[in-house]
Amino acid sequence: MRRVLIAVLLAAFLAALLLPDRAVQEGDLGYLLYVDDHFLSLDKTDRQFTTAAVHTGPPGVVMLRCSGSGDVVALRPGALQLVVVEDNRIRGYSFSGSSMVPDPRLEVAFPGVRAVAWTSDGRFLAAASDSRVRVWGLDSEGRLRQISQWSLAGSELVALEGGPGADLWLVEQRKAVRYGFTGSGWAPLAGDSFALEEGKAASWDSRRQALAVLDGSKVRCFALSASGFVEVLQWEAEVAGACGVAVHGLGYSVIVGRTARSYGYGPAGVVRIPALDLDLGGEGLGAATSPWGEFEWVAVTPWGVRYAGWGGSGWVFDPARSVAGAIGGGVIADHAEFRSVVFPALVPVFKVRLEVEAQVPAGSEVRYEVSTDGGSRWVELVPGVNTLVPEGNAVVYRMLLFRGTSARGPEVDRVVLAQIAYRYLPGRVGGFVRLVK
Amino acid sequence: MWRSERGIALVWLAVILGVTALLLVVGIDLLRVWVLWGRLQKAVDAAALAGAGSARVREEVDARGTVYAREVLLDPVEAKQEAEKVLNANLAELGVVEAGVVEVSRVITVRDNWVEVQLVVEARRFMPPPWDVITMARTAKAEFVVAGP
Repeated sequence: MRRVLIAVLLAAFLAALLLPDRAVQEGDLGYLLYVDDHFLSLDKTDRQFTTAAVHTGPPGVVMLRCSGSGDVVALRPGALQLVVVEDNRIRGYSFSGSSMVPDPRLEVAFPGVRAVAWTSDGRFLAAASDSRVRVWGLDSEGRLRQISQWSLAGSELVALEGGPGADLWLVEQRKAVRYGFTGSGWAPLAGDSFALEEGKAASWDSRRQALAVLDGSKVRCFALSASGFVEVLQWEAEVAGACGVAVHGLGYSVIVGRTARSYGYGPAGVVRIPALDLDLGGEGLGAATSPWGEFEWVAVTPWGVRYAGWGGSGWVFDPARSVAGAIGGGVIADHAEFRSVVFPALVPVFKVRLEVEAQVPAGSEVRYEVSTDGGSRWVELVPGVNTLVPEGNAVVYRMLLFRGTSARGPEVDRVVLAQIAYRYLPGRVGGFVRLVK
Repeated sequence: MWRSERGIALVWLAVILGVTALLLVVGIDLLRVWVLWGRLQKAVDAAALAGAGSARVREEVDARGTVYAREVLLDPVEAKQEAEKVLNANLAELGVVEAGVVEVSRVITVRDNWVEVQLVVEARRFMPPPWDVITMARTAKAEFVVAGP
């Protein structure tokens, strides 16, 4: 009995040793490694080495990081129109009934433009660079007509926001200043100037007549009172690592990494509502308040301006009022690396094949490499070509993204990495013989 | 001078029989050579096909069974052995050796995906010297063709 048991165990051990090789020979190919990284739904990223932005939400891409977007989107009160800062221009979009479509009437060139805002009454559009503020009105056909401009000295512009009536808030890194509308122009109001530690972003709330400013790791609020604007400490919240704030009927949403964190106004102050956090699918770049609805706001993401509304139990994006591709005046990195986690293989890997779905604009480049030794030695892969690699029992792949001369750089949607094995067939199965005359 | 023409028929008969016998012998000899020729061709054809048929196919596949490439693997030693084996068997089975055929040379060439068999034999004929031996050279080439993935 004991001998039988030992024999059975030995046979099982030998079978386990031989099974992977036999499987390939006999046609059971399930042991081969097959990685299908569709970034929309999967995330197999090695965060230690990855410097690229990975967006697992729609549209689900790996792309170059975009940073420093600023206050790049403004929604016009009273009309379904918005403007976006992009490539030294202000581009306008109007709602067509089903989507936001480009509106050439709202397009104007402005070199160095970093921030844009509509006044609360919807009459004027203001935009600012680090050195200049320009303001436009609208003619009878809805076209922009410049009516005013002034210079800024030594400004480190962070945001431009609306204010009461036709006033404007100019938020710099060290201060926020209200510019009052005089009837023919705008002038700073000495009483409404607040020092900031490290201004990052701001949002004007026309319903509460309050300005929310992201200052360092705090959201600070300045509300209009009988004696002018005063800071409301009750509405303050501590938020580290944020890059944008949008005000809405519930409270405000703060962009931290890939999440829009929700904060609500409570009787004892601002309360955090984690249940209402919204996953942006990738790292957010900023946010803006929407004048179109009380429980609506806008997130700025690397793939465009995304309009968020209340869906009954949480925030949901509304594609109809979103603008794909409008990323503002952010700075896109020159290059980045995406590295996958290590995928163990049951049978030694000696040949692999890569298939990709990617958008590579002219002038940009993506290089694909694979390593079978954990990342010491890399072999470049050409998509669609079976490539020999040093034999190993694990595979890790990486993508090197280069922006080159392109404005946006490449975007990779999907990577399929397949281990290739040899399967031998007898001649009568795999072909035929014939006499050659 | 012939005194009589009696018996001339016998002479004619003998001549005709002689010529007929000669023609018969020549005809049988040619037929034999022709049959032998055909048998040798069949033997080298079969040998070449057997040699090429020993090839195997190597596929490149992934976990989903997708076949990306197929390649012929023709082992020269194995192909040659297979061709030899079939050639010998056929020569024996077709009665070539018993028919007085002497093998002069055989060359089996294996390259890439094809096998070529060249056979040279000498066969005896029912003829007087120097026509009593005929040399026959037969060649066959077979290739292995991979079916598309």
